[in-house]
Amino acid sequence: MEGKGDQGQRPIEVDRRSFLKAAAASAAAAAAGVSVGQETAAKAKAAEADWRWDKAVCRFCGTGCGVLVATKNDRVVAVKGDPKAPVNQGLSCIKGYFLAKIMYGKDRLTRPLLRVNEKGEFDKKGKFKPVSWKKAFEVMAEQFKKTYNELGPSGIAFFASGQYTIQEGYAANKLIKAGFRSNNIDPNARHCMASAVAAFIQTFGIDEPAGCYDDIDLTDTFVLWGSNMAENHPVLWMRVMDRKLSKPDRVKIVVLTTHRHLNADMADVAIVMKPQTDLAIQNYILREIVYNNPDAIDWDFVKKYAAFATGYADIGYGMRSNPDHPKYSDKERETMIKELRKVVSEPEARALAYLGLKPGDTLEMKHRKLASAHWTIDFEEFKRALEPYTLDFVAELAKGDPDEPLEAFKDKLRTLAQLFMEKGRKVVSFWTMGFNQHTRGTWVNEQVYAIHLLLGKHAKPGDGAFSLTGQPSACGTAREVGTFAHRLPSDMVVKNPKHREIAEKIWKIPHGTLNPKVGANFVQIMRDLEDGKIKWVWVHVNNPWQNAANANHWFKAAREMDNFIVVSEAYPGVSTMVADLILPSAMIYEKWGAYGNSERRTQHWRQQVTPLGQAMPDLWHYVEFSKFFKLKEVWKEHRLPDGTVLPDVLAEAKKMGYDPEMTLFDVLFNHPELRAYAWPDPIAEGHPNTEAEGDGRPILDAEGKPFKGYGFFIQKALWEEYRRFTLGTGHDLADFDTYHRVRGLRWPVVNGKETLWRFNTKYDPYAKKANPTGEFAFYGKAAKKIPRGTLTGPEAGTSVDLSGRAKIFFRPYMEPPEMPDDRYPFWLVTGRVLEHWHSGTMTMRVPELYRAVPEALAYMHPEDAKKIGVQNGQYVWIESRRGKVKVRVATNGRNRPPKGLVFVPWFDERVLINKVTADYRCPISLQTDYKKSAVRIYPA
Amino acid sequence: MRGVMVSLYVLVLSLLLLLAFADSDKKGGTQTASSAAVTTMGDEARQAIGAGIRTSDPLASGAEELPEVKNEAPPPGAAERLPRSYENAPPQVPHSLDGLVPITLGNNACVGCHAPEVAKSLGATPLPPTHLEIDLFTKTEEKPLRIDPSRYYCTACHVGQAKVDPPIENFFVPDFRSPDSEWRSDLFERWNEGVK
Repeated sequence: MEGKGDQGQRPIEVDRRSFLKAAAASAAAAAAGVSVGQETAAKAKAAEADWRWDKAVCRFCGTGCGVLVATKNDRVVAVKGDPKAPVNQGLSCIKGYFLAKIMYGKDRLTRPLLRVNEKGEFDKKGKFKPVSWKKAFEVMAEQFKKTYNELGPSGIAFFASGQYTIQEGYAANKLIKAGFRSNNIDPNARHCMASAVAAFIQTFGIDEPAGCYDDIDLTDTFVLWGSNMAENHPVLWMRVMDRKLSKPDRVKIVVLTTHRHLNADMADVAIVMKPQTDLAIQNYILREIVYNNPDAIDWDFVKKYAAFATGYADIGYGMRSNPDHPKYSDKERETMIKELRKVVSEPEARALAYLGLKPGDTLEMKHRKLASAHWTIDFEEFKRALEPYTLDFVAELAKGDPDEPLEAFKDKLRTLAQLFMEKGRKVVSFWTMGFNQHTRGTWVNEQVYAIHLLLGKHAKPGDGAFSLTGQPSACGTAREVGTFAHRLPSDMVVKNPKHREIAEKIWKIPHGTLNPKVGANFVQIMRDLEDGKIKWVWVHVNNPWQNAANANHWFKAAREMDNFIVVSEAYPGVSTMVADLILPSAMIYEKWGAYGNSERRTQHWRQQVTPLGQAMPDLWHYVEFSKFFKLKEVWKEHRLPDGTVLPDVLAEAKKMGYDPEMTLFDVLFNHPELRAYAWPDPIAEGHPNTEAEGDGRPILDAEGKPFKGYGFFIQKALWEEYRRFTLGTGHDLADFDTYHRVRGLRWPVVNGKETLWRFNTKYDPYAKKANPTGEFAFYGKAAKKIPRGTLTGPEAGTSVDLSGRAKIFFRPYMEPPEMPDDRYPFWLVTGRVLEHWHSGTMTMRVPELYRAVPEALAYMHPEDAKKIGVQNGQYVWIESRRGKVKVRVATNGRNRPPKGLVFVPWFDERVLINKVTADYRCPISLQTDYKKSAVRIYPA
Repeated sequence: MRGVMVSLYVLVLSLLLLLAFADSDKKGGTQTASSAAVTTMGDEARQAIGAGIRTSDPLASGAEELPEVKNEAPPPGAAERLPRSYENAPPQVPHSLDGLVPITLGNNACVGCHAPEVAKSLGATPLPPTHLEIDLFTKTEEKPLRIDPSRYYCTACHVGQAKVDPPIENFFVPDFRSPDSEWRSDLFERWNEGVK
């Protein structure tokens, strides 16, 4: 093994010799003002005394950089990349450097704010006034009970997050599922990586990547499919550049994108493709392998460890099932009708020829409710399905830049296929939102695995398809803790009675407490608010009214319907504008926490400073709220809207020693077994712990009493309880204290050792156990017993056992539900920028970041701008069938779209681009496609 | 990789030309603005409606207060150095990036002027030893580049600054432990400070 491998674990040592070398080498630099010398260093050492440094984690993207945080006088004064962190080895990106400054925006929310009338009573039409925590929780509980008594567990919901700490997500999940017996909890991560998850489950039977970041330092080829890593995973991109420029002739970078951007600029091959045609390009590569280069197939790998599979095509687009919904316009209906049926286009007819479809036929979406159903097929069927995807067909369909010659585009596709097929060439595929935010997001994820598996280039050092996650703890909190409407911790699901039983035991709640019905997912919560089926919502570390597509509907739903919306937040933004109650949240280094990054690395940090004002950690919000609910109010019998009965479990609870008059606080968060984790604890090394012992501020708690802490190490207690879910499941986590001594560990952590490449018996003890004599074992348990069938469907009564195998899917190219036409002639693609995090609530408050990118711009081709009659810098309206925004045009910025496409980032709350985007989704993952809507553009 | 080095020298030359003939109408990645886009609504009024940066009704379109943008960043060489945001924070780019970005595999205009050998004569801030002497990630015998390749993507940390007043003030207070640290880096000497 070449490259760094274990070197990543070692701190970078700047020893005396290299120091002198540096001093000599940069003599010119020294003359120009860079100080190098012993004197400065000695002076620095003396001055270090009143700074306290401690390791922590960056709170932005899914890379998961380790940082060092310096505090002085209870304020963070500096942040730097942690040289000892294997992820980033001391690097950071521009956002990471401002981790301190995000906490100190002038309008930090520091007091609970409630909408009230002149008498000080709650009034949905009132203005916000500061209230006590007691009053806030009282009104919140009263409103909760009103809805809960009227609609039951399905009438309330939590918007969860890929950005809250693992303990916060765990507490929220426990409160709503075990306490309120509702599964209506779904994170913003649904918008971010649900398609990745669905494909992991369908392909491997278990969530999260096989590989790790070491792959970057070991591979020969990077293929980026719809991932602008340079802006969205900047430090990982620095690692990619480090690899590329260290071996420039050997290492190649191919970027597939719908518009030229920073990544495309730094690629060997930049393929500008038409939106949605990634599916066709993947099938071209598969066809090239199967038809023209069968020797490239690793048949030994395929026969031992894989199986071919497919599913239904007529599965709709995750839209509302009734296009006639009275709250939608006729214009919107033009797109919404495709949920039920669509007219087959020329390219679709070629791609779907195996279903006997012809151009102009109507495809009825008959399998909308069986979107995730799939079955095995034999290799000949797989090969037959790929037949249409010739280079001619795919190049014509996929070429995204009308100004690029077709032959040049074909050459690029050929090069890409060749790089994949070359024997001995290691290949890593990366992707993020380009794949995941896609009406066929699960398919397009599965197809990239198909390429890697067919070639035997997966789950090996330097070889593998690697899904990058967008948020800092989308993996750690949202996925692993299972803060989704269908999940429980450690890849378990609410539908499975055995899984519920395991959860009930660990949570020490009566058998039968957990609700077996999948709850409302993110977009469904919005639609249910609009329909009055959900009337009480709590938002955590999340900005749903800025991040949900088709936002005009949800603004109206929040303000015009009878409901109560609570937003726990650090800063005001559009979600607080539609809230009824705002609770001030502590920010990242004002609390203890843990995150899990894209490479399965779990990292913990200590509280560094006291929260500002009366802001309190979100964990405290959940725990305090739990005090308002007696067991008899929640663990009684409930009848759900579909007729399901949740049994009364109070008798069972009594047997467990719980009195019906006890509260959820007593059972879920203050249980004696949790209280056994004492505070203070030496692992804290003198750091504060607001939840455990208070922090000296005169905070009055939910009962109006001075808050002196819960009296035990609640973050550690919840961690250790959560850890029990993971042990022995292949998701094994280490104990709390271990994480405070290391720079994170990649799970499964078995016998104190992390796992670098899963499913590979050389590296993964679970694979070794499952297949002691072989090289691989895809041991994930989900979806491993499926029927056998043909391209058109499964054969009734058949069942194939795929234990130990991964699936190589065939999935056809299909068009998105909305494409440019005469009235809406442009593709709208949305995304992010390097300098701002998600909805901008934190980074727009850092002057340096604001000045770097003061507003969201509409990036478009100069000739398109000319045609519309605007110049660079002038305002236009961008309008879809759903809504419009005013935005300034940029024709020569960092994003340079081909003619016919406009790119607008979503970070700017003044340019609410999600009023324009549509809420159609992948019907399997239920993740929204933010990358493809049809718009018209005209001068403002 | 020799190609990269050659193109760097070519770039230094072309940069000098750029300075002379910079197209003042063209806007690049760093747009600048003259007048402030400060939210006009007072703190209390904003609190009463739960508003942050945007104060207009989210349902209304076109009422947002967007910053007034003008192109005023001076060209390289004519720009004043900016103070560090805190000790050893990466410095912001005080000059226009027109024509200097994008950074491509064969073309890094930043290194052209900021390489220590040439920085002094051009009046540019020289790359510090952290960028030159510390070999991160892939370890190679030969050094194809003057800088560590992990540092090649300069704009990941160094960003342009528009002349615009941010809508929300920030009350972060930096702590410069030596008087000159507001203007220069000693991160190389302090690389392992705080590492336990």
